[in-house]
Amino acid sequence: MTARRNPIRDKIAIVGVGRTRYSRDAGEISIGALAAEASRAAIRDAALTRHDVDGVVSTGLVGTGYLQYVLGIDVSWFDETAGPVTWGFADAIGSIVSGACDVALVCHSVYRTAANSRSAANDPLRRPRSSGRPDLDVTKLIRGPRSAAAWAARYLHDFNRSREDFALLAVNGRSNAAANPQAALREPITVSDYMAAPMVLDPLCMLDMDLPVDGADAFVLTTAERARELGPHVLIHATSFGRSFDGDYREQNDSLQYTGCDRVMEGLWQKSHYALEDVDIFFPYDGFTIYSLLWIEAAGYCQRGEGSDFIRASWDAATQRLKLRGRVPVNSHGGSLSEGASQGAGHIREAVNQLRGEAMERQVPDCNVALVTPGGAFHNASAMIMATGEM
Amino acid sequence: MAYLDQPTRFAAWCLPGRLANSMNSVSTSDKAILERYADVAIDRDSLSFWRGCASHRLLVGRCADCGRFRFPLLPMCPECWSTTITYVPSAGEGTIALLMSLRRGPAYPAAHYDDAPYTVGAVELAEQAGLRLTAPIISSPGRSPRIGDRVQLTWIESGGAEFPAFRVLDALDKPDHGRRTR
Repeated sequence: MTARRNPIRDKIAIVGVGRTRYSRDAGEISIGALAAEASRAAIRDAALTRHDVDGVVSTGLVGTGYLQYVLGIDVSWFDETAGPVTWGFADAIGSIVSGACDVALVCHSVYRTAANSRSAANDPLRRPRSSGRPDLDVTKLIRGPRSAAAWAARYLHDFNRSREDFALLAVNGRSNAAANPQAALREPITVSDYMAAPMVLDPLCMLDMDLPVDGADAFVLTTAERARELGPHVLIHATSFGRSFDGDYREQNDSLQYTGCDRVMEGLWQKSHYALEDVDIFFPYDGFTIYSLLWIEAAGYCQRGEGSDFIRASWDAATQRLKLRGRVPVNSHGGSLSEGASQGAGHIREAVNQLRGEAMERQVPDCNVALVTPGGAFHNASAMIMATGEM
Repeated sequence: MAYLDQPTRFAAWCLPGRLANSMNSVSTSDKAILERYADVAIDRDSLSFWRGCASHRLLVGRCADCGRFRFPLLPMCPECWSTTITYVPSAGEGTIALLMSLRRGPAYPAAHYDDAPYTVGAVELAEQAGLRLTAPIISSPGRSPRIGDRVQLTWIESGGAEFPAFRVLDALDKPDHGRRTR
């Protein structure tokens, strides 16, 4: 059946437009410059500034991480989606209606390349932005796992900690995975095992990094009204998203004092009727242990830099697990570190299981509110509060 | 640079390339730069940076209107949205802001993992707080680089191309020059 509802009727407006000239050959100008020029024009046309825009959507050849950096925009929402640009509009409309952002820029950029233009094929400066070896390119040396390692080192330096502080997060994941028959790594580990693990990206070792796996999770969403008719369900209470202005350029983030995590949690607590004390179970993303630490701090359990001490104080030696404030379990399924890397999907699935009381031997008693924070500290932070739905 | 004559724990990984110690006269046509850096994805905005590298100049962007520096080179100033951007050579002095030791994965030119990891750092250049550039960090024997260390730009030659790197200035080292463009 085709979709028939129109919950956005008259709810969204277009307030600015901007463009560059179209030409058979724009000359010696980059695709990035074209996208920046059109975006600047659109925001100015709306009589807004870069500080007013908090959503960036791209359907074109320029990624949102670049657009953010060149425009200097901290965002709550960003997304790259396939064209036509109407898909970008759907994305922007949805993100505004949902509260993911307030003012969204949608940018579509086109550039002749070897694929569609004979003259462009002869221009070596029109190669796809992604081609080339990033390991040779000083503008791209800190990306992906390397950004986690670089900022982990900075964390240890700024707060005078040692890498042993990351160990309990790895041990907690493995202890939890032991009770998860579908987890990839279930053999218990100790802090000594952690310290002896092979170093990969110093200061991060093998056990600081999530485990690539084969697997899938899927979710069905509908309205709360429909959900009540259908049976046991979980309500999405609030969501929040964010990325600081540095976008793709992770080494340029100002400091650890304001990361994507902090922006996300600032928004989440403003949107939520629940407070941190109401959270019964916490799923901080753990693609890298340092990310979990930053999420625990950003959530408000402690200040930035105090996470290591907080985790030690929250350690339950008998079960080799974390119990935040003596009560709240962390990544009860084992997390990405031990269940397997699912970029947060496993965290959300386990939250659903827990809130529906279907987590088997992992079930947390009286579990009604879950905080899930998928994503890294800088590039794709997000958070969601989920609660048991009333029948 | 006298220190190059000393053995360092990084000497090994500098081979078969070598640390370049003189500025050769080079062709800086677009074609020559693209050939020289054939494995780097160069576009209209980064071409100038690599052209600078070819002649040992570390170019950063500077907004002609508000004066703010920015790296990597961008077509627009993120602070004031001016599109009048000039490219100016950095003095190449700074401190290490981010640091990691790489033990596997693709290696920087002339680096290898045969006997040790090699360190890569984001260096905060003296021209402006927060202006950072990432490159390998080279230090004297027995001395591990640390966040906060003062560093000086140097160049690595590999496969006929020049790549930036930074060497740690030891306590006794005097900076090669004390220029500050701040």
